[in-house]
Amino acid sequence: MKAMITCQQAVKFITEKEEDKLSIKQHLQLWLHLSVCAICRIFENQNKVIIGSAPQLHEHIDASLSTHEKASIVAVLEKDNL
Amino acid sequence: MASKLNASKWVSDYSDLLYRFAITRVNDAEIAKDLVQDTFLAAWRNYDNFKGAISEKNWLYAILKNKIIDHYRKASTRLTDSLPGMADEEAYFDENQHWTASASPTEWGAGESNIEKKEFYEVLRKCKNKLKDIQNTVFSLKYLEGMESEEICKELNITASNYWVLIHRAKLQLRACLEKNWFVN
Repeated sequence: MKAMITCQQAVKFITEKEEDKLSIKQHLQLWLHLSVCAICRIFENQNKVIIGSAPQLHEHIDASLSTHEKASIVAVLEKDNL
Repeated sequence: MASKLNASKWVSDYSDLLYRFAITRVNDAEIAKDLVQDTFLAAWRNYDNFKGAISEKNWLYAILKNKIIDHYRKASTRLTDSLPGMADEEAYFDENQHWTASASPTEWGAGESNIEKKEFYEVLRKCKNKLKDIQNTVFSLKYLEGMESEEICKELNITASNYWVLIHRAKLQLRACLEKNWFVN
């Protein structure tokens, strides 16, 4: 078995691992690669930060509808009620 | 029954929450506004079916989420016209598939402890919006909605190999953009 995978493959494996798509062999190859490659370890950690914060994105931004846009939605609902 | 509801209070209580949920997923103010309006209208007409098993807010979120996925589905035919080849990855990896010097991830250092800050999320949103539409859609379905890859391929009518290229590329690009715009040491 070709034990050592490349950085490009390791980065792919990191994403596939999230969905348990790796075979035992691929798990070992990724583990071995990460044990010797500091750059891919950094990628793996930063990937965790990104995918960990993504689900909360909408709770942390300031966007809002204007008063006029809100009034027009209210008008649509009230009209629908008639 | 809709007549028991106060439209103004409903819109005032929930419209911004719903709008933020939509705008982080569709990256178009007009489409996001329309999705929010459609959500209120669907809820308004079907209020009798609201059993109260979940909160009113979560019920509205569930309706909006379905509308967003419908929107993605309708847009996917157009989006898949621009499916990428593998060539774009050349910027990140050299001929030996090692990181290129300019694209190598570097430690984020102190910035990493600031990820709870609003500014971080603003940068994340901007970087996410710089993705190609199809990448942004796939990333949103996977990491904002938490859907599995098989389900995403089915909804968007793309192959598994397309999916993995898109998600992989989206993550490389997002990470690089965050490093450049937020974690400047």
